[in-house]
Amino acid sequence: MKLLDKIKNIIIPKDTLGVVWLYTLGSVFWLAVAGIAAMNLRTYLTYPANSPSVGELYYSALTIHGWSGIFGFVQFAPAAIIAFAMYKSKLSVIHTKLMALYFWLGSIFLAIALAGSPDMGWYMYPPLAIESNSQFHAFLFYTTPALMGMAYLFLTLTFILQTASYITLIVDTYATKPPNEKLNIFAAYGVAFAIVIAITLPALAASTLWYTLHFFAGVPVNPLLWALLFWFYGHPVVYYVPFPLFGALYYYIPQFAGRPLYSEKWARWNIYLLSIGSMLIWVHHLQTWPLPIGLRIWVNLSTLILASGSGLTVLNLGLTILTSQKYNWKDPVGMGALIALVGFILAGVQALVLPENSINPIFHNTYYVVGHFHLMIWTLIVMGFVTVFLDMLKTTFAGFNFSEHASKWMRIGMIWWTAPFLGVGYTMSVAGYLGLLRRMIAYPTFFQPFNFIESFLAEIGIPGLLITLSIGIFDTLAYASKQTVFSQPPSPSSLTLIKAEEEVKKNG
Amino acid sequence: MDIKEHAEEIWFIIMLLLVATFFTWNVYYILTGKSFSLRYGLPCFSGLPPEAQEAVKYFESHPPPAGQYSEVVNGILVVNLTAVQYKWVPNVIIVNKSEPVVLIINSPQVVTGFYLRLPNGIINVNNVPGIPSYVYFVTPNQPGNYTWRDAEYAGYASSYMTGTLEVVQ
Repeated sequence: MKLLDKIKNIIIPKDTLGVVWLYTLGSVFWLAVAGIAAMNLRTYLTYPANSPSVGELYYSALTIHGWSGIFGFVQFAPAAIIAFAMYKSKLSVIHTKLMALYFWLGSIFLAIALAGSPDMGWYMYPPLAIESNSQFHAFLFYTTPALMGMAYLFLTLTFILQTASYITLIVDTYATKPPNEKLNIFAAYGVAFAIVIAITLPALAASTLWYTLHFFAGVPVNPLLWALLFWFYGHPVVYYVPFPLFGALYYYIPQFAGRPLYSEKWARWNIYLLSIGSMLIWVHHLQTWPLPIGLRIWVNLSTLILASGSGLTVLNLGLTILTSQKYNWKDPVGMGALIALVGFILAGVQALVLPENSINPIFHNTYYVVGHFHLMIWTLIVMGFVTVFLDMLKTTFAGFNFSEHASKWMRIGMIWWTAPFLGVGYTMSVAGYLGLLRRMIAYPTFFQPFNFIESFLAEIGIPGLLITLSIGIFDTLAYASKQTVFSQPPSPSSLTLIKAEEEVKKNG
Repeated sequence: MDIKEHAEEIWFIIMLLLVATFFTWNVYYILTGKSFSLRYGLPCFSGLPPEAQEAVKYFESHPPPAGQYSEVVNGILVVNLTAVQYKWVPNVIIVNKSEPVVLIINSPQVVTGFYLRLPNGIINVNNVPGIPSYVYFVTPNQPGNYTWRDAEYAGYASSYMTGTLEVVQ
């Protein structure tokens, strides 16, 4: 297969790996948009007294950061990971054209909504998100009711298409699953959380549809009910990437530890805890809102159940590494998986206090929370995704492995990225504990050094990620350029055939 | 039964039992009224102490004259505070040291937050249009000025939505 054919197969994929790459590159694009907007924010935040006139630009960048991060990267990346997990489990994406349609239309519609320059914040609380008067415009460019309604309509369509992509992955998994055969752990996590996404993402579509109906049919919006509906999606969305990545860690870490997973049973039972638990705890985002105390008690229990599942993941993977002879961290995929796990522990520790009713108000709406979830993004999500990305490169070009020199620089790049961002995350959390509020463009001067440190460390860390990705890609392309015709990676059916042949040879 | 053979099941069950125990302990403390902590940060009328609830009822049935936002009822200062884009009305509250205070916060336009750091704790609640928020606290025992802020993004000038709690002798 020629390189040009491979590129065509990404734009309009014809096979599972094509779908994997389309969604991967799309996710990376949205991640880059989120990152560029974030650096814009970090620049403004080094000054403690930005005037309200700066607000229009700042909050536009903030919303673009949030939307492209959450509605773009976080909602496309799991499809890439899940499709890759399916490939690794000898399953196929059959509806490749549909998947391409969902991706391209979903991205274009999201871009149309973003073109209005939304500045109401990523979680779009009403009535602010439907306001356009002398005090505030929820979109800088879409100021008439018709344009605002159109933006929310396009967002709704994006979320419906994204939901459809996960339903397609679930259907294709069951259509191509060999009867009487267990899915491998990577695919099991992928499909389980495709189901979670397919259940919770419609709540977001319903939230923006509510706004659409407000503008086109005059339907009133109840702020409290809207917030409850939104967070039914808004909490599980934080697991959209991490949980399929848990499957990836269960798959890769034993390989690099040179031993089976410490407990396959724990990993499989955990799917139920994590998937059901993740959908029952959303009200813990509203602990300072006027809601009945019974709800608070309930989310305390459900959050603890989910936390126990997360703890069990750490225990299982940690014991796999600790009881191995030697963990192969020199392989960049092994190193990435290790960093993702350690990062999950370090970012998870910050979260332990947050769901507790009696502690949450100390941290709610402060940078403590921002530090926690961003650290989770920079380590588990970004490094975990990079881990899968590097394995995608190896898998796509059969017979390819990273050179020793490239591996060394990729390892350096990963640490170069992770270490400064650990500093950013923990500095944010300390500032939040001391009272720095999130989303503010003016703050007490006491916090200026904290913001300087965060912006400075972020600038230092970014090249690390770029080095890791670019070296990985160049090393792969250098290999690819030496091949006149690429050997196709074995397809799931040929893999089964090879396995069968091996069995025959082994057993005579 | 070989414990080693069933170690995975045993630990899984123990883990869930630990969660259940911790949760039961929480519920016990609420039901027996031994803890206020679960109401901390919850801006509901039902979370106010009984005497504060009485003061609020009296205040709401006997509202002060226009332009006056507060009144002392049975030793409790009741303040009617409103958050609009982009200011608090009133934006200065003068209180005595160690004085019990109830805030009735209305936010008629958009969702806002009330965030006040006092030496003896943090007050952090959200205010939703159409639903009054209620906050009870006792002022510090030393004179001083404390700034409260809008903790929820309410528009371009949210950062400048501040007010001052002035504690006098």
